[in-house]
Amino acid sequence: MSSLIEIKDMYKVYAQGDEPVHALDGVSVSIDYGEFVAIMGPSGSGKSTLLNILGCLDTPTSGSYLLDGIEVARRNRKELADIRNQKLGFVFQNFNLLPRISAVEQVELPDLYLGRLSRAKRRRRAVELLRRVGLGARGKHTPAELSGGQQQRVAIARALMNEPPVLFADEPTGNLDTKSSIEIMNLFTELSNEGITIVMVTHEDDIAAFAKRQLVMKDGKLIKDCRK
Amino acid sequence: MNFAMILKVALFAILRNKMRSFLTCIGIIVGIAAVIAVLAIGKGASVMMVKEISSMGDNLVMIWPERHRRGEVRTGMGSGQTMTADDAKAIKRELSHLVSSVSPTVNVSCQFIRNNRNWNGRVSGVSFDYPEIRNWEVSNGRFFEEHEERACSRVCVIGTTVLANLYEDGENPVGTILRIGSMPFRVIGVLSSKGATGWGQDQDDIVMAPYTTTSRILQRSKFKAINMMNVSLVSMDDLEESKREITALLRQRHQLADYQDNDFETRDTTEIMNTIGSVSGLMTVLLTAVAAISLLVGGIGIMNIMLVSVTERIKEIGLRMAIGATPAAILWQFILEAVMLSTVGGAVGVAVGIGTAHAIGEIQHWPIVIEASSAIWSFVFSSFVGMFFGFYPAYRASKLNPIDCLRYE
Repeated sequence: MSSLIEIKDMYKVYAQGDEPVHALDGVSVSIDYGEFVAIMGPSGSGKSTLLNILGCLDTPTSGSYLLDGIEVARRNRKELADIRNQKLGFVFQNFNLLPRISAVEQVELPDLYLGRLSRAKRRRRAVELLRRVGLGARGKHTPAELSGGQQQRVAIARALMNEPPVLFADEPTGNLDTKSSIEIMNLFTELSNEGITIVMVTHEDDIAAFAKRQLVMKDGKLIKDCRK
Repeated sequence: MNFAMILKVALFAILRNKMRSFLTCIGIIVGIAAVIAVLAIGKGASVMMVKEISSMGDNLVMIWPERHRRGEVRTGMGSGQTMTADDAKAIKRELSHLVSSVSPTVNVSCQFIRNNRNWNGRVSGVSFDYPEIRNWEVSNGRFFEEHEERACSRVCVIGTTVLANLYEDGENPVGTILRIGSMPFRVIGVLSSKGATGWGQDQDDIVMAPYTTTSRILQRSKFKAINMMNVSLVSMDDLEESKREITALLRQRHQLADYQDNDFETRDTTEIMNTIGSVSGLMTVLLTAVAAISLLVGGIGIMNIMLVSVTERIKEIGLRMAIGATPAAILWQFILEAVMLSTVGGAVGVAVGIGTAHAIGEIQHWPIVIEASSAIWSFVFSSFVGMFFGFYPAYRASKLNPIDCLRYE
């Protein structure tokens, strides 16, 4: 069985001024189904660039990327949007919830673009997911009425809406206090135990410690890959 | 992404900035309202004019002698001397299958004197069947009869303006003697009031007498020249044939050779209607131009605000793309927002326009005719404006890179 994520010789070069900047400098890595991976490294090491490319938000300058058996490095915008919609879930540092709409509606969003479920089923699934992340009673609240930790739980529920095989998290605890951070990481661990693949970028060692595999990057290169 | 959902998102975005949305719509509202109001007033005026013209009489063909010329100087309509009462009689006699009645008209301007009052006005010498031809009734007394016409009787019927200026309030003029020029005439009736024509001429400022009397006694003319004649047709369906026959008959009677032009002019009510039609057609073209300009200005306003909106919500766009919104979904979201703005503007504009038209009609006592088609077209057109001017901002939004949007500060 092949890996869920398989990248080979990936380069990302930004033409910044006279000197080209190599954000990714020949990265190859593969991640299996069900893994919980933390990507670490100092700022500017290329870890966010790697995550954005893995998450199909950005395209590499060169290299190949097989996701769930399909080549995604050279896809058009529409196809990438569909891949993001069906195969990936995103959790951001700043939550990225839409202002003024309720938690349930936030969670429903991915399926509105997919249109897989009926209205009633979509609502039922959204409510169920909110209960799953521990926000059963807060479905009608808007982001402004929720704490940071609660907002991040809504974002996680939203990421799970279309049952993607993999979840990408970019500094998911960066805006949270220690208690909320640990709660979110415990939730990630539970999801991982249920078989969802999680790829997370962080620069905090104690957060990375929740993951079962750590990748360390520096200057656009992968310098360390260790499993627990 | 389903349509209802996009609609809801667009509605949300508009309601979030109520004041801004309203100001954006104003351009569209004012443009549409102006067009609706002016069209309603214009249509009202043209309907009124058409009504007035048909009140001139049905199936009517008017014939004037050619304008008199001295050298190259042309004088007024009906000033020629070429047409006579005999022409009128001949038309009635020989074209009886097409023509029901013919009334020659001889106009003279005279001083009217009654006791110590006087008035200057027009005497129209007409035939006994003139009231029938022109749908004009006598409200008091009677019109003169055929034998009075033949006998050159000095009888007359007066219009209400003349009545008001020469008689006391409540005085019955029927049976009184009115001096016209130097000749005494007996007043036998009062014409019902017809009001002013569309172009402001007071139709009630008139005295009518038999054309025979007018010609011989007031004009002291040895000839039987007339200023015009009103020919009433049996049916409007035969209009073209009737005009052709009348023209042929008059040319024959006037002994015109083939190379000579007609020495008379004919005109009928359909021609006048056509003139009004072409005037209102021109007005419609001008209004359409005004509408187009105001909608252009309104549309640019919408485009401007949509560009702002795209920049403002760039993070939202990034997030939507990240969770699977295709470029097309983003495109539609913003186009629909613009369309909604302009359509709401159009609807409000139609309402404001109808209200304004009624208010102006009320104040100025103008008739107002609002056509459903103009309201519907304004409405439809305003949504096209939204689509057209919303496209560029929406296209820009759809071309954004998700990662740039998410990183945007």
